[in-house]
Order: sequence, then structure tokens, then C-alpha cells
Amino acid sequence: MQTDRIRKLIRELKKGKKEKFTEFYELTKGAVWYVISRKLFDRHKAEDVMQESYVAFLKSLHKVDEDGNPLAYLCTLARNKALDEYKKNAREDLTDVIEDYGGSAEMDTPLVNSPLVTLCKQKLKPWEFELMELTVIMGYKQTEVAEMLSKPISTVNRQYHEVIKKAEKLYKEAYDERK
Amino acid sequence: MNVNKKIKSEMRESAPDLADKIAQTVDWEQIALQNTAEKKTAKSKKPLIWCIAAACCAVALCVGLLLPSFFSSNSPDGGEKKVAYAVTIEVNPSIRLEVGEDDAVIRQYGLNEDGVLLLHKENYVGQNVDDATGAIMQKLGERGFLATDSVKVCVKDGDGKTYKDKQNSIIASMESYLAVLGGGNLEPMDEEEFERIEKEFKDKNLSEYEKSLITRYQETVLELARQKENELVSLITLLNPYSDKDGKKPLEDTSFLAEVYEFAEKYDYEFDFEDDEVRGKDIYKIVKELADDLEDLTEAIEEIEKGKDEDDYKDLLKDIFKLAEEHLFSDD
Repeated sequence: MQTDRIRKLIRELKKGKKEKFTEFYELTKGAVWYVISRKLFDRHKAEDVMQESYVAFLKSLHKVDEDGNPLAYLCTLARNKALDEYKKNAREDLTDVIEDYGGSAEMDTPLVNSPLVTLCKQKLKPWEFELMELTVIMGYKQTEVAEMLSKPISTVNRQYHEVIKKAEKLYKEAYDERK
Repeated sequence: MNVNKKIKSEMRESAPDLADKIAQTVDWEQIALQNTAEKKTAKSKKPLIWCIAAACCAVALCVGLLLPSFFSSNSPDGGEKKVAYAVTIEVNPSIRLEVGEDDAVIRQYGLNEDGVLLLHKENYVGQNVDDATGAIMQKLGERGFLATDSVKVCVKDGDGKTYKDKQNSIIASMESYLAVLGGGNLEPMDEEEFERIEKEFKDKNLSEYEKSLITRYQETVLELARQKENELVSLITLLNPYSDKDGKKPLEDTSFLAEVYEFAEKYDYEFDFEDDEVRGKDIYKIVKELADDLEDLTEAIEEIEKGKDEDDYKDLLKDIFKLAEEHLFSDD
């Protein structure tokens, strides 16, 4: 549904139709911002990377397969740019030490305000949260996720539904606590 | 409560608004040039056939419900057309056509549930009023309404006064259609009758009709969608054992093909392989495509099921229409 709309917009953008960009941006900015904010906590730097990611994406539109998953391609581009920026500014600190020992320094994403995502990150198992990130936030199809994780499609489908059910149970807790 | 929607909404709200800034940075002419070199034929979404005639009625009726909104009263230059007069036709069903100065229909709507039903699938907007009323007479005749009751007609101008000349000319035109249809009775509506229809229309609050009809057809569309969902799951389960991403050897056992063809015919899919050389990788591609469609369909069903509890019937109707169009309709 949304993927189809994005594909249609890509076709229009390839014709140089600038007026279609706002809608494309609105449909994709959430996923792209999330991907960037997992690595960068400085808003100005994150915004710069956001802008650079979209510009790079538009400049390489001729390489984008509109019948594939353009959002996934954009997210990959953004993640790589965020990683480059992160490494540029990396210094030896607790974050790196944690990661060196196999932990996850991606504790919170302060640039994203989503109590439900924060709670899911705390309460879901890591693979469950990863599945939710890939499908719900970044827009990967379950078939793509199955390929990435080398799992059967039916398994991913089942797991996806289980994760969504768990997230629905956490929903109330996330927003009641906020009050 | 829709977890997907909530999360996506929060992601969007957190993101900065950089659209204009980005758009201005890019050379759009250059982008167009780069992409005109090789224009790929867009892979169109597979046309899907009607499953059951009820779906036709369901969605078309849903479209009919939003006739006042969907069929715009805007003129080609974008401005709103002025209503010069309104033709009310009552035989129970009751319907109204709002007409412009050029005698072209600007808007149509049912004044009661039967009127809404009568107008479904029909679009008279833009037609000359005589052609439109003639077509309506034909439809009334087909439905058997002309056999027993008189058709009453009233034409009011923009100030709510009876527009006698126009009324007489429209009645004369409708009478000529009646003669062709084999008879029936046509007469001007008196003021009392007109007031009664107006009052009933305002009191009954047509949106309640819309709501009940939307709910009714939501169930029909959902039933069809769930049926397709189940069939997709069954077919994927059947094909999974044969699916092999790198499978190049022709499969020995192709007994599953009959079901694949049956599904393809029913839902108008096109699967690309030679009968006697079906390979594991062909099946892998099919399973992938079916799984993608299943995901989209399931998401669409969930959105509509969750929308049941919300008050925004317009959004719900759009979702129902979208599901039917993308998963149950044929492009033909």
C-alpha cells in the first residue's frame, strides 16, 4: 500500500517532478530519521546527515529500482552516512568499550520520541525488536527480512505477528506511564 | 489501536521538516535527464478479478455513498460551480440533482436509503439534465418503480422557489422517456410533499444511512479479502517444499501446478515459467510474490478491522475501497 505509493512517487521523481518530493519525504522521513538517530545523538549533525542522505538518494535515482524496495535503499544509504559521521567523531569512550565487548550501545534514540518503541526495546527480545524495526519502522517486506536473516518466509510471518501482538500489549503500558 | 500506525506516526512527528531545503538543493533537470535514457516499463500491479458480484455492488455502493464528495462540483478551472436549480424526483426512492446554469448536473445524491442505492454505480455529473433524468427514468423502470407509483418531480431555483418553466420542460422531457418505456405516471410535486421529503432528509441524517451501508459492505469486502488471504496461505504452504532460491534442476513432481493455475486464474496472476520445466527457483519467485501480496493484504485487512472502532467513516470507506481496488478488483 505505502510501498506502492512510494514506487509511484519514485517514477514521478525520476521525471524531475520536484512537486512530488514533499509527499515522498513525508512518507519516508520517519524511517530515515530513525535509522540516523540510532547512531547520531546530536540533532544538528543528524539533520545534516538526513539532508545529505536524501540528496545522495535523489542523485542516484537512476540506480533505484522502483519495483524493488526504494525505502530500504534510502535507509541503507542513510545508515551508512550516519555511520560515517559517527566514526568521524568517534572517540574512545564507554560507548565503544561496550560495543567491543559485544554489548549494544544503542540504548535510546533521544532524537525520536516514541514511548512504545522505547518500551518495546526494553521488553522485547533483541531479535524481536530487530524484526519490528526492520518491518514496521524501516519498511522491509517480510520476504526481504527472511532473506536477510536466512529464515523461511513462513517463520518470519509467524514471528512478525507474534511480535505485533506483544507490542499491542505494551501499548497501554507505554502511554499510561507517559501520563 | 494500531501499533504500526502509531509507531510510524511517532517516527514522522520526530523527524525534521527538511523537504523544501532538500528539494532546493537538487538539480531536478539533471535528474530527469539521467532517467530518460532508459525508460523501464513500469511493472504494473497485477489486475485482479472480481471475486463475487457482491463485491462489485459493495464497493460501487461505497463510491455511490460519497457521490456528493467524490463527484466534484468544481468547474474545470478549479472554481466551485453555482447551483442554478435542483430537481427532486420522488417515487420512493427520492433523489436530487443539482444543476448549473448550463443545464449540466453538478451534484447528485439520494435523499433516502433507497435513493442512495438507486444512484450507486451511476454518475450523472456533467450530463445534461434531460439526459440524466431520462437515464433515471430508465433505471426506475428497470427496478419496477414505475409500475405502481407516480413519479413526482419538483424543480426549485437557488432561492428555494418553484422554477415553473424549468419544471415543465423537465417533466415534458421525462414524459417522453415514459412513453418509450411503456407508460407510467408523472406529476409535479406539491409543496407539502416537497416539505415532507426535505424534513425526512434532514431528520434522518443521511450520514446514519452511510454508516450502516459502509458497515454492511465492509463485511462483504472483508469476507472476500479473508478468503483470498486463506487461499494465499494455503498456496504458500503447498509451494514451500518446492521452493529453492538456487534450484535450477527441473522439478520431477509438478502435481501442485493445478492449484497454482486455479489460483492464478481466479485472481488473474501471471506466473512466468514453462509447464514442463518448473524449477525450484521459479517456485521461490512465486512464493516470494505471494508472500508479499499476503503481507499487504493482511495489513489492509487489519487496518479496516481496527478502523471499525473509529468514528471516521470516511477514512474507513477509503480503506475499504483501497483494499477492494488493490486486492480484489480487476483493472478491466
